[in-house]
Amino acid sequence: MKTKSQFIFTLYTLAGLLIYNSSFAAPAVVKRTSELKEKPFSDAKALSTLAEKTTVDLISLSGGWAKVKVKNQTGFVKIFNLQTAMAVANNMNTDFAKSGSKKAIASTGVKGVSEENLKNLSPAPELAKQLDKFEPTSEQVIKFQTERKLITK
Amino acid sequence: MKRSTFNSIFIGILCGLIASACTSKALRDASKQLQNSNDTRAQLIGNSIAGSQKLTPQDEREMGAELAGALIKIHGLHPNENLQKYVNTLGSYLGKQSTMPKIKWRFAVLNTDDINAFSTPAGFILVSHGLIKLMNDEAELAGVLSHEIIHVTEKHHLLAIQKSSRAAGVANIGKLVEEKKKGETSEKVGQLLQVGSEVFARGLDKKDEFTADQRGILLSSKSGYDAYGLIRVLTSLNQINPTEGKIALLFKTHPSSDERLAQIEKNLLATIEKSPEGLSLKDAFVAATR
Repeated sequence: MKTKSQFIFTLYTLAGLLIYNSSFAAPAVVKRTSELKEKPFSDAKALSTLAEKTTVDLISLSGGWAKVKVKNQTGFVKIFNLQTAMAVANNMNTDFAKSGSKKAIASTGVKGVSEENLKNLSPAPELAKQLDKFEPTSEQVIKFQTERKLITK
Repeated sequence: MKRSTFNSIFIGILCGLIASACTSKALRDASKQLQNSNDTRAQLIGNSIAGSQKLTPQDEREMGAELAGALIKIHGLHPNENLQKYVNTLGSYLGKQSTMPKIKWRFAVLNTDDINAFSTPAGFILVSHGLIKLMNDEAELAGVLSHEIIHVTEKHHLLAIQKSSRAAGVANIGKLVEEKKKGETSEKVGQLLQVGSEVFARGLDKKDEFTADQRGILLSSKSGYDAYGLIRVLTSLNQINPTEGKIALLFKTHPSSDERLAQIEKNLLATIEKSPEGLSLKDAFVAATR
């Protein structure tokens, strides 16, 4: 058990060091055998084939693709074929906790300030009313759509 | 132009139009299928609320405004009015593509680095500045707002508040709202907020979250955005330790991002892959939010 705890702790530490800022690479694991593509397209050239459980550095996300670095290659993998190391650690931790053999090691239970405040909501209807001033006109919504060339389907 | 070249171009355009019609059809079919599966439940909710709780659209609006105001009070509105206007314009555009195009959609950016988003009945949607900072383009914001819009159009919170009101010994939430309107409001508002706070602290049913994810993706895609917007946000959330203070509440009140992604992959990926490609609009997002 100690080994498993240490492994989960390592995963959390690794993932934690590289928090969510997209400018940093975050560790991730290949969920199923996947091609590493040169460009983020299904018909792009395959640089190599990544085996299941290969660890990669997740650099950024674009469309349905993740830009990753593995060994000395940088390429693209489909977003659904990856799982972040943090998610792997969380799943293991949850399974670990469910087993009842030990308490979840990462359940430090640091609560957000919001949670405490949520328990003591106090009335402020005037604040909801304040949002009226941000309401766009119909013309502004049409302009927003037109400028962006958003096509409804 | 040679006739054969002309024919090739004509056939090419025709194929393109047919492909586009097919992919749009796939999107509409998936939307309809999800809609049908929710209709029975929505009807049950509607009957229940309309029958025993007698909430008019005006009642729902009052309840939504009361809860939204109380939630805004925790952190306040973000001071950047251009940002508030931008989120309201994008949200109103998405709201107009929803099944409730005529209600007065209201959006707020909360002045906190916490990562979360809320909706309250009748069209109030609140998103934290911390969550916006996590995003990289407009399709991601559209995905999150669409998720919250679906909670409103499916009346998820109304059902949850109804359940909670029973548990809290408030027999009739409709009567509570009615009494509040007649005056002597402080006690009634207090009761309403107590019920609401329990719902927000506890979260909605898992099924409601999965529905909001999947129908939200279809809504943002139908509105012209890249369908992967919400999927990228969930992947970004998956890089954060769930015990971190600023995200602990979101993870406590929602299924894990990994579970949500698995549900999307299982139920919607085939449709997404067949859908026409939408826009991500990174530059517009960065200009409006940074």
